[in-house]
Amino acid sequence: MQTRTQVATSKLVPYAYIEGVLYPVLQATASFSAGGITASIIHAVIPYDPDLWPPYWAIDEADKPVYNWRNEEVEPVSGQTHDNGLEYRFNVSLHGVQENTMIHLFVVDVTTGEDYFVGEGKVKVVRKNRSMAGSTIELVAEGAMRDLVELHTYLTDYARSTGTTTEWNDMLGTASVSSIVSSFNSDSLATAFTNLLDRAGLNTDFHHHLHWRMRRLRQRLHALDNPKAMGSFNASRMKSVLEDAMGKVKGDAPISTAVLQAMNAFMYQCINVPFPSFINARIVAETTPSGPLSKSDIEVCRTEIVENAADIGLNDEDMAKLQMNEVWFTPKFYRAPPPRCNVIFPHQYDGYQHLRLQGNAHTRHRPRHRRGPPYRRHRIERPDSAGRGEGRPGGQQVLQLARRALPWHPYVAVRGE
Amino acid sequence: MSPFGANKPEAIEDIGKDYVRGFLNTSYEDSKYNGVALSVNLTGFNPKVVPGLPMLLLSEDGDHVIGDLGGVRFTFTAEGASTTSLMISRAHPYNAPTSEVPMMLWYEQTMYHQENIGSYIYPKILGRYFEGELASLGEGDEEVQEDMSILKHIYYAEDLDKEAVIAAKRSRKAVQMAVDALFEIWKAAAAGTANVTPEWLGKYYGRRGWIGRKHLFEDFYGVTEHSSDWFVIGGGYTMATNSCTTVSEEGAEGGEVEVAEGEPASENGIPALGELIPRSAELRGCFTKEIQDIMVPPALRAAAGILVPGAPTRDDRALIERMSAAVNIEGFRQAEATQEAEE
Repeated sequence: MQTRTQVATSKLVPYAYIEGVLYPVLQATASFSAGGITASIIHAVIPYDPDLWPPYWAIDEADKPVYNWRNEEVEPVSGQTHDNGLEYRFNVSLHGVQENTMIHLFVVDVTTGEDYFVGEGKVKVVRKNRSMAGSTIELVAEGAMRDLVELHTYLTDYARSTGTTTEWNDMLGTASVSSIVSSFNSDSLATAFTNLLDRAGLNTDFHHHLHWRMRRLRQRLHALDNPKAMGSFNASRMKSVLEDAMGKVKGDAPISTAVLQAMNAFMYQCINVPFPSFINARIVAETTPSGPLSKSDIEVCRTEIVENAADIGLNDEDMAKLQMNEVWFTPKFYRAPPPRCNVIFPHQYDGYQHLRLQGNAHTRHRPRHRRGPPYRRHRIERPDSAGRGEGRPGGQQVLQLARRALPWHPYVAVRGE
Repeated sequence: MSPFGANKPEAIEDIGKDYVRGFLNTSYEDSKYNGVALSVNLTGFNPKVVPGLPMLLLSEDGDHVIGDLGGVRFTFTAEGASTTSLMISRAHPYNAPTSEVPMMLWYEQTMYHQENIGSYIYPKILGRYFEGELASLGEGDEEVQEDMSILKHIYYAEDLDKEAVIAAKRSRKAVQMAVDALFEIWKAAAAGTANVTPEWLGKYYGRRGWIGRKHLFEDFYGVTEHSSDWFVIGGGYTMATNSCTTVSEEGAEGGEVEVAEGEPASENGIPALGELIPRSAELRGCFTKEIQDIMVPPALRAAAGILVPGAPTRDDRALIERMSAAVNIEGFRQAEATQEAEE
């Protein structure tokens, strides 16, 4: 560990790129979580501009005057055709921020010059706020997992409404449950997860396909393997269980739906990583002798970290592209030693609030004689006090129970000496 | 409960006894501390933390807490204020006993056991640590640590030889030992007897290699033909034409290939469904030009209102450059100096 005594205090200013256009940000909030299928959420408050907000779509028929965003009449495109020979039915003028508009949130530390990529999202909500200080626009965007949720919903609806058949599977992001189970069996869990999701993302309509490719979702979604859980599962049974879980669409199931169901079966979680990093890049120290980390030159580097691409669900050819750790599918980590990035030192916080929620504690570790809400389960009676009700054990018995159930508890440790 | 859950013995037989044993035991052990949560507001900005991974909260009184980081929330304001809030679930004392059953029944030990997870799993999820300043980095191995978990500190216990360290990492008290060792480091730092300060530990200990604007737009998205913030000139696609720009094998200088709606795959001329963009094609740009055309003027006005007092008097290009300079601190300072000199 190196010696450093002076550390500059951070002063961070947010800014955003909205569809690639730099915007000042008055206030930003970014939330990242782990667990089920949830996306990271970005709130950004930006200055109000009456020419841009609120957003709207102007849909004009081809044979009527068409107006651009400045309300100027422009030439209609009547008679123009798509490549497939079909005529345009109408023109759509895109006005301002709308659904699927991309926002990239950054913060810059003005004391060190370090800038951080906080996260990326697709705008889902646009609000105009009016206060004494003036008007602002609040954007709410959702991160990369949103694409998976959309895909999941889209494919499920599609499969249910059309009753897709096997011959269309390759084109519609669906597959028979048998083939999905085969993928899980023949590949590792990680490879099956990512390959199946990639297949689902690409084998859809052109819009989804394009987004999947343009946003480089293959390079953002990764999975870890857990061979033991997979190996002990009876594969032939998995098919029928998956079918049951997916209900009516079991015949030709949306791949994404099957993958998400399988996640539950193997106790996987989804992790949204804030301030993401590249996992197969190295800093070119020769060309960047000093300065902020974010300004350094980097190069793709296949290090020992990702020596085996299949470990994280990738193919060898994927390693030629930068892989970002934005979203991970991993097993839930049971009592693992924390990584060093997840250590909070005492001087980094003022205090904390300890919550014990009712209803979730396990009964096996609660002394049987105690009644009342589970949050009181750690409260041990004093040894010299008698039970309050007839037939209840006394304090010594409680302490003996507590020694077995809660040997780490400080009160038990003290009283037990 | 999983959709695989079953309450009939014959169903368990079908699914696999080992699977059911592992699933149920792991679920049970994992849920012992369900509902025990901590919410912590940090006093400063902390971009290092990652949800979904275990979390250690060191406490000045030695009552340290370990849990799972369920979520993290950052706030920033234009005035430079920032906060970081953590929600830790399944919080338990750092020296609480843990069961070995889930590790035996459910997890691949060579990957997920405590002695391996720091060197095998965490590097894949987190990338590298940069526990120092960039200037001090050498080549290759110096950037990579062997163990990215706190168990690294067992190595530094002076009274342990190599075999004892391995045994210690496998022991059920390994986490407790590592936390104690780390706490000693922090106490020495706080007392001024160590070669690091608490502030240094807070900033550089376990620092991840996060990425900046340049890395995202240039290195990841491959938008190469741009001048600072006007980068969208280099590529992009339009939803109106359903086309995108790809880079040919010769690279950007070798010309570009316009990929339209794909080759008609069937005889009736209807475009094929499914994969229309070749997998080998390197796409460039990720924004919709029509929206950009609409957004540039208000972005300029917004920037003018914030960064330039009074009505904007410069042309658009100059304002963009000024906005860009505001993001690039050095450029901003130079722009300020130039402006002052001109005045």
